[in-house]
Amino acid sequence: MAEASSSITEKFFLTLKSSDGDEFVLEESIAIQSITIKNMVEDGCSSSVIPLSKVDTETLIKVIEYMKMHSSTSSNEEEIENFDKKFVSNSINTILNILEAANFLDINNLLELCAEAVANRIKNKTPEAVRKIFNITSDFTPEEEAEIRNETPWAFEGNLDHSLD
Amino acid sequence: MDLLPGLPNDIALECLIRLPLDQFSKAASVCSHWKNEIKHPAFRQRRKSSGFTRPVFALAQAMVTTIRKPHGVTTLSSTQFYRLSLYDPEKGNWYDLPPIPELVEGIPMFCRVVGVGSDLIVIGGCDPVNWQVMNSVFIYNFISGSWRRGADMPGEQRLFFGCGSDSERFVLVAGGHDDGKNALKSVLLYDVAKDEWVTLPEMAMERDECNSVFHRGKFHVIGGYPTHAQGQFQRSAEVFDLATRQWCLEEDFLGADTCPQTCLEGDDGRLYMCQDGDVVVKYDATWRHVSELPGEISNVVYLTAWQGKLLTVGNAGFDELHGGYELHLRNTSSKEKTWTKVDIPDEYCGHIQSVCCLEI
Repeated sequence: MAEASSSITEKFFLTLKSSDGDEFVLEESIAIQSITIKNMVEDGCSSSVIPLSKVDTETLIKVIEYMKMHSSTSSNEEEIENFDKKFVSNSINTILNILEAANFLDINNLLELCAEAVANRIKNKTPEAVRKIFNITSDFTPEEEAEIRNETPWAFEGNLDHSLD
Repeated sequence: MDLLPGLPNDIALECLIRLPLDQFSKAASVCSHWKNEIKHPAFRQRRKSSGFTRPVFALAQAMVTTIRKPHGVTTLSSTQFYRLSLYDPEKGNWYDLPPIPELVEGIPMFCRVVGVGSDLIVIGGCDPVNWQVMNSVFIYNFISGSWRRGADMPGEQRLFFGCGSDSERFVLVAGGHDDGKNALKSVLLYDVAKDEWVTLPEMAMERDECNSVFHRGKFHVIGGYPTHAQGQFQRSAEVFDLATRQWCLEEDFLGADTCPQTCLEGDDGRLYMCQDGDVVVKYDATWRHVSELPGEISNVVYLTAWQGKLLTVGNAGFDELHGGYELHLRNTSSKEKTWTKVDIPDEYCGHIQSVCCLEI
């Protein structure tokens, strides 16, 4: 009896260590939204510090913010929605870092949110703007560029956005 | 090279598949790496399995014109020029596809349209200006947003043939009639990926105005009539197995001597058809009654079962404008089943000759 009741009230904590060497203490119930961490806990790694060699401090702070907001007990739907809206307005480099971390940590909701955010940054932008935003070099020859421009544009296509945000 | 610098390609693809359809032609012009990924069939498969594709209906449809009558009254009427329109059933929106560059006047009259992957294929028909029979193939790709010309349909002139696709790669063209109005037994298979036509073994029967449907993994050439019995529709069907290259005749496939034009596989895997003012569905060898058609469209051009609904377009008779109706099949008792009119903008009420569904 005593054991059962203690397992309800007692909180377990994990220590996550970023690639920069910073340590963050987080409730286990929140941290295991990451399937990677969940698997580590189940394999018995939870007693020591969990090293996340692929996630830097800045990114880990964002990921923890996200996991805290999305942990089932503390937030309502509207709060989560507003949080997500604000979250995806982070700079594109931050979003890309979080996306990679979400993939490594296996947090599916976060991966989907960031992938959607990246797609939204591409949407309605000119190819030139997309290249600048994502630091992509065009490898088309001038002839190929001209050919692309001459192709019939898509029938639904709206106005293109030249901005870089 | 990375699709998105610094990011594994697998995650970058997760981003790209989330782009809306109208963004792909633009995205493909960012760099050759993006172009190759986006145009690869695996990209569409990934979009489809992740739930990012959606069905649209493409229609070969007459352009409409407004006729002014005395006292300021105006009415709409179909013209003799056809174009391709697109209906997005989820959003309820209608669009025009860009004209075929070689045929800006209009698409071929009596052409057939079929969907294969992200391609809309327009086969055969008559030149809209000089009425010459065309064996042409025009392909509109929804990813690049552009038209290309496919290899011409080989063999004799062919009109009113059955035309269906497996949605992924092949189009089967069967029967129809030649320039002497002789009904045909011959069958052609078009490989869209290779842009190549193959002549298949002939069917047992001549089949003018037959229908070609891909059903349960096999092409079915349904009904039609032979030269000596023009207009007298037959009830048999011939089923072609792509693996064994063999035909199999099914004598009483339609259960009645009826026009097979509306026979089509719904997304529930069953064959539906309009017959004598009713919608019927095939269970094994028998056709069961589903619902009576609304009176306004006694003449149905296209019928399909989609996401628990029957969708149908047609008109009340010759020369009338076309309308669309839908009927929910689930969650309603048979007594409550009523058709509701689909709100179609005036300019998309023109006469319809051929319809297909694409998952894009």
